[in-house]
Amino acid sequence: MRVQDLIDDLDTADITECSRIRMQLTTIGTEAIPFLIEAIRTHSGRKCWQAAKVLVAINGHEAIPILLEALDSPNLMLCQMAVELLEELGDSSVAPQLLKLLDHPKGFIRLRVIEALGVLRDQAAVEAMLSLLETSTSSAMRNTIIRALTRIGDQRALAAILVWRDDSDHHVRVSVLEAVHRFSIGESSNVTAH
Amino acid sequence: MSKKPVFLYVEDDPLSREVLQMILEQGLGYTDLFMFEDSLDFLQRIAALPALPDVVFLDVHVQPADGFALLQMLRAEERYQNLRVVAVTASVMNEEIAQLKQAGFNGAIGKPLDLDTFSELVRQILDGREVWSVM
Repeated sequence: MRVQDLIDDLDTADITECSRIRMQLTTIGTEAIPFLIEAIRTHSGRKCWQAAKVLVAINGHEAIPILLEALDSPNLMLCQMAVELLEELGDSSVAPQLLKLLDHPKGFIRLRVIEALGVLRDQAAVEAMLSLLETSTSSAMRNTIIRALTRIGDQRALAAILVWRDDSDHHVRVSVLEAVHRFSIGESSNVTAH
Repeated sequence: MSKKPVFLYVEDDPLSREVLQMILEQGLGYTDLFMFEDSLDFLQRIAALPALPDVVFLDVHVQPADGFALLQMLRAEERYQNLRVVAVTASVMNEEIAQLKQAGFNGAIGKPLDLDTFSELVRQILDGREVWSVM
């Protein structure tokens, strides 16, 4: 089967079939790369974000420029997948581009970006996260921000986190306790004072 | 599973509902999704749905009845015995996971949901497997 046909088939709604096609494309390797990049740039359907996943499986960190491009995609699933893949690659140099997405109109994208910035331990995100924490009406958002700030380990965050110790949401309260514990014992590997 | 699966998500946080809806509908193309924003009159509302869900995602700490109580309600009814019921939780504590397993959940998925991970987990759930993927 031709590479292009396989890539077109990534649009299938059958998750099992899709997983099989991704494995085939990954096995094909470098020959598939130009087709995958083209599929990502169509911003179309499921195949664009599935292609992004395959591209990273084949090309690892070399895929970063394409993933950064995908952050601006009107296809929200591609945008979401790009954030997830950038987090997975763990290259903190992409943090400034991710940081820009904290203004994304879609809450679920902002949520995923916060998670990624936490994993990448981006100190530059702390101020923006604190601001979002103060204004967020979503307990899922508060919880994700608190967990990300705890991972980053910037001491400025502790006072803002403590404000939510009596939050109505159980998960938020647990995350606050976890944060207090981590900050107090300096368990976050890069707890920093300012 | 030959017919298109039907999902129900019981979750009080609007953003969490949005995430799951986006991933299931736009990401995976599953459009038969019902959502309850609380657990009030749970059994009456589930019975009133136009289709019986194949998979129920429950926020463990939804109110007024929590996920454990909702699972008990479902399992007490013969017609819901075979529903796959999966907890959605932001908790990272092993104790809670042990409780969920003991209570009879068919799995647990950690928040925030990943497009990548969640796609695979949905496949496993629909294959009838248990999933315990809490980060």
